[in-house]
Amino acid sequence: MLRKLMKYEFRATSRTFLPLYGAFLLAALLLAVFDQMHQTWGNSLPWLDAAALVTGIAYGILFIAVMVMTAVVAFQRFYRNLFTDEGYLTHTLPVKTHTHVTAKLLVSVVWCIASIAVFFLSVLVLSIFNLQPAAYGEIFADLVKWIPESNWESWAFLLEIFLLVLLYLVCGILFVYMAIAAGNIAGRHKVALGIGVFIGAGIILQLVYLLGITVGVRSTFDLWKDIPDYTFPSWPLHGFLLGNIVFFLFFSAVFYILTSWILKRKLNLA
Amino acid sequence: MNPVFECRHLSKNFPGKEALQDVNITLERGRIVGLLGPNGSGKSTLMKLANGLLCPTQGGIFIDGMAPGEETKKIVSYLPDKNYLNDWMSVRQLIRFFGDFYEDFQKEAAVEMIQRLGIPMQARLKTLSKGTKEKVQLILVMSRKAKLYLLDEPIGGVDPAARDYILHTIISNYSEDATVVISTHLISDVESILDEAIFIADGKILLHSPVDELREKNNMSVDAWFREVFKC
Repeated sequence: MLRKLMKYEFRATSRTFLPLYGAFLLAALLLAVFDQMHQTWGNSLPWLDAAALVTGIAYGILFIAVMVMTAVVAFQRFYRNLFTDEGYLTHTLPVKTHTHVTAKLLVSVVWCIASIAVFFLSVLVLSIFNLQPAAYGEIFADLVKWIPESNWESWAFLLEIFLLVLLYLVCGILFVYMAIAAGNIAGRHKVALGIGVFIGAGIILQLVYLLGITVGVRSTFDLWKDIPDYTFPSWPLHGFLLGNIVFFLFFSAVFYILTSWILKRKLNLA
Repeated sequence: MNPVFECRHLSKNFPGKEALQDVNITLERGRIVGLLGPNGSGKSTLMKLANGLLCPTQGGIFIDGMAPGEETKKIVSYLPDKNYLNDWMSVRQLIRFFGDFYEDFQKEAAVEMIQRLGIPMQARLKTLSKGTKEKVQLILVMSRKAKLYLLDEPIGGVDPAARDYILHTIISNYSEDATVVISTHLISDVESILDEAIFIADGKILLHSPVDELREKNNMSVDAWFREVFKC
């Protein structure tokens, strides 16, 4: 059922994202073309500067639109699909409640990654007429050279950073899901309660995080002072990354369970 | 065998309002039941509780012996009293959607009914009239071979000709051993197809009886009896 839910989730959301990505990349291409024309013909075409300016503004606006819409669609879709009239269909499908949360989360994460990828792609498109294959070749060659030289620790760092970024994203999305779901427990003033939960839980989360960091740094220094020479071991950095991973993993699980529980036990569709 | 639908001391409160109070209902299989009451009497609340869209304040509601959940949703076909389908989807996409999620959905039956009405399969829901949208919703709901159909005001907002079509669709599509609950305040339109009637007012069940008994006992139609009971 997860696969089917995700299929329809992608179908519903791609109606927004695909045209937006298309327009964004088109603006990047046009900007690159105008830039190239400017380099070729200089100021002999009077309309060129104006066209480049308009396209540049459009590119900037579309960049903001892509980033904003990535967040808006993720949360609006969750709210509309589960707590408004659309919920009459969603909640009567023979699917476990937590599967709805999983499907929406995974699809939102994919769109976040896609939006970032499209941004990098747009940068590539902007420089399409100035690509220097030799430079890219060098970067690639360096990368290939690095692989045999790198040890398990380098890979561990990469993996830890990747996991941390992913979990940070997941935790953030689930946090907002939980606030939206909690707001809908209220008979009235749903938005106010949702915002209240968001701010209140956000403050608690930050305090817990700061406490964790303080305790972590303090104990690291306590251990470090016993090390005889300044060898700068890498384990404190691993400790920091792994500590963060555990923190975001734990709170992701808490928000996921709370959201699913509210949807199952406290649902009150108007 | 468990009753197909059962409420035990079911109550539901909203802020400042008791929507349902100590409701006890048992429905057996193979019956067409009218859930009859004026606006705001608790009909929709009862249907929403049966579908897990609301959680009871007290008591329980059971479908085939189970509390509302993944398993009951496989055997309940529910028509809400609002437009609840994604209106950007075409009729064809909606049929595929229902076929994807409900094992008991009969795609051929749905396509045949849609085509008989002359509704274009590629038409997006948002381009259809209100009446046609309601017909599409009903066709999708009645194309399932469910054990329990819960139809909330299926004839509420449509013209008399469409009402006949809707009632015909209901009686010609439900399986013999299934139970159909129709909530409405338009009793004269549904009376002829009902086996049982439940009168509900202010969240309380006033009466639950076979319609034949009701007619014999009161020597009047269910519609006339309803007007008598709910006289303003």
